[in-house]
Amino acid sequence: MLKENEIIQHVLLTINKTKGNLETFKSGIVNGDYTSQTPFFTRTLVWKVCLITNSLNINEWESRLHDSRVVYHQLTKRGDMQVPWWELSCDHYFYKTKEESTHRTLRRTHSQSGSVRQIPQRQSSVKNSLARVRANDDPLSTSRSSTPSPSEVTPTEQDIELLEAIILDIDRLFPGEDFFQPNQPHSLSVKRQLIEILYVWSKCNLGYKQGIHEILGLIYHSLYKESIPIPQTNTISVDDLKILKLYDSNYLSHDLFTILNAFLMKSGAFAKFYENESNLLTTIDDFNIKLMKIDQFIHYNLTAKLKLESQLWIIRYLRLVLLREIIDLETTASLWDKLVASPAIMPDLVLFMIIQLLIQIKTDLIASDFSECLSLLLHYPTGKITHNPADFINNLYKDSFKLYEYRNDDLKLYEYGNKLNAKYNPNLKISMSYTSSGRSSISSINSNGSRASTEVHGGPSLDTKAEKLQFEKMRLEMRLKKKAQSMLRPRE
Amino acid sequence: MSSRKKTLLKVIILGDSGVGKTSLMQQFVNNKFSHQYKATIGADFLTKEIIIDNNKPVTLQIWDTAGQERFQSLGVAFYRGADCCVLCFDVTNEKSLNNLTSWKDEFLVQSNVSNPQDFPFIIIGNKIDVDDSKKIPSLQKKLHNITHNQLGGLNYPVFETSAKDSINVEAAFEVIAKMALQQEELNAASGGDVNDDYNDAINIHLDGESSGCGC
Repeated sequence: MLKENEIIQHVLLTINKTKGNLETFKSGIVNGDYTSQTPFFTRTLVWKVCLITNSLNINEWESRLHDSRVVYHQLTKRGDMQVPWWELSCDHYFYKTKEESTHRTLRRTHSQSGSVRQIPQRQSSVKNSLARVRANDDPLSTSRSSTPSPSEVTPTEQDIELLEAIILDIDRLFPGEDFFQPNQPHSLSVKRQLIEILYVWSKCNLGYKQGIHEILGLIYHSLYKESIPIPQTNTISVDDLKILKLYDSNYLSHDLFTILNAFLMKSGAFAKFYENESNLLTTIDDFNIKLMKIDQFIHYNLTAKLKLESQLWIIRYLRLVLLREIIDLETTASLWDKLVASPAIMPDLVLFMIIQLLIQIKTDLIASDFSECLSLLLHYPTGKITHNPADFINNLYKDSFKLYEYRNDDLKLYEYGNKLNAKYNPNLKISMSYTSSGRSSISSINSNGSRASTEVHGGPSLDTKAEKLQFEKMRLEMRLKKKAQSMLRPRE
Repeated sequence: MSSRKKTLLKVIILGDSGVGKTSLMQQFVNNKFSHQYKATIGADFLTKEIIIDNNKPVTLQIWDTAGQERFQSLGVAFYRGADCCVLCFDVTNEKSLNNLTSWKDEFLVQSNVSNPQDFPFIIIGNKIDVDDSKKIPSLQKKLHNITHNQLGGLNYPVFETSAKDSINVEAAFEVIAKMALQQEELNAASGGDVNDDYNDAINIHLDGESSGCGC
């Protein structure tokens, strides 16, 4: 756990190193220059600067933090956002009486940092930060007959089911991590906070979906370790206090709510991975097309040969943003650091990351039958990751960001796919023989390029490597084009 | 290469979130019970080779699915070609018992099996290790009502198990395997096997002696 002085030192060193420039800071993160190996690294700074303050100027932090914290504060004060702990059975470890449950939020207003007390003067800015909360959930909206106070609202059947669903998942959150073990002294309060954030978040965003709990859990885990109570002494300078407020443990929940909103909602990840099934299917189609453009052979092998539909395995990759594939929390967090600092659209970048992961295990993938292949995909081999996590993550980010940059140029995608194959599968050679019957698409290509087709059937006569490559390239491109057309047609 | 035909049986485990589907699968396949498994997101999948009827080797492909969400169109990929479906509930959670019928309906709609009347289902009531005071009151009667309801009843074999203490898990899966095998043979007899276009036009060559990608 970081001490106050350490925090201040880390933050100041980081700001100094990047000259207070946000873009320099972000590119340092994505390029691997600012990681947990960096002596003055602090993850809180990465996440809160990228997703809340959007500035490395400490003078701007206070008001931006306030604007974001007030949103969650207001939401938790509303009666209909009250977590109905009292509806649980009395012997449940999360049970609280109604009085206890509603008391807690009152205490919040007396919290020490005092920033929340300024709410009335700041209402205009609150409206802006509420942009992501659905309009009719705006606590300041007048359409609701004023905010219901806690005692007036009785939770519905769905509210109780929502709470039970969240508890069920929070109780089995990262069972392998000591931090979340029930015997830890902080366990109950940590879980209660997580449940409350999820409950409020779900009520603002049309319900709870499994997976969001792990995303929140990982971010919480990372930031909890660095958060501190603000010391009640006069010996801290004004500037130092501004820095420490970013780490205020009193507002950990508030900040996590904002971060979860930014990471999932603003990024578009919720819409593409969670919101509804047709969006999810569109995302998976998009993935399939990208995969075909980058590594046609993996695509062919999975979809045409094994008939292994991507939705059988990819849902977890997407929804947990690779958390289960990358196995340990610290390594995943280091990847997510890059995601939040990246200029790329997060869900699109994730699709390219998945393709890079597939290319890395290509040899095994294409030598497997259906069962083996699906097992491999659902239990992604961790050997390479644990061998050198930092390199693995840096390569994963760099490769997929390159692909992302080429996303609108099919030829470049194809070429970069070849490059990745040369890098990760140098011993793998795939030869294609389209002589078997029933391949109408191929014969039509051959009739177009008769020169090439005679050569390929002539076998050994293709001796110059360049010629061979040239031909392979042309054939793949034509097939690619045709396939892309046939895949895109029904969508229009 | 294609002449050696392995018997592959696809088993789907369904049921509400938290009833212990993953635990059952893990207990059966790996003989272990970790105190808690993470929530299954999307699907999971394990296989196990077993011998049934003393001499018949089969590969059980066990598909575990998330209990919280029901995917309409994604379901087709999960359920297609299933040979047996296991409907799970938690003996301490009455709602999970009452939802068995809707899980069965879900399966029949999605899998589009040709013989819904006699497709093999089995019911597993898990967590019998939990203290009796926590169990559904008059469980046997309620279970009987559900399984013997004349209109669309779930008249299937019922196993009460504990994935935690490894009670009845092996026995249940043995029955599942036998039922699945019958179903598979039935399918084969009616000529439903379309999966023989495995003659692959693409050959894979590995240069040198490299064995795999070094993962």
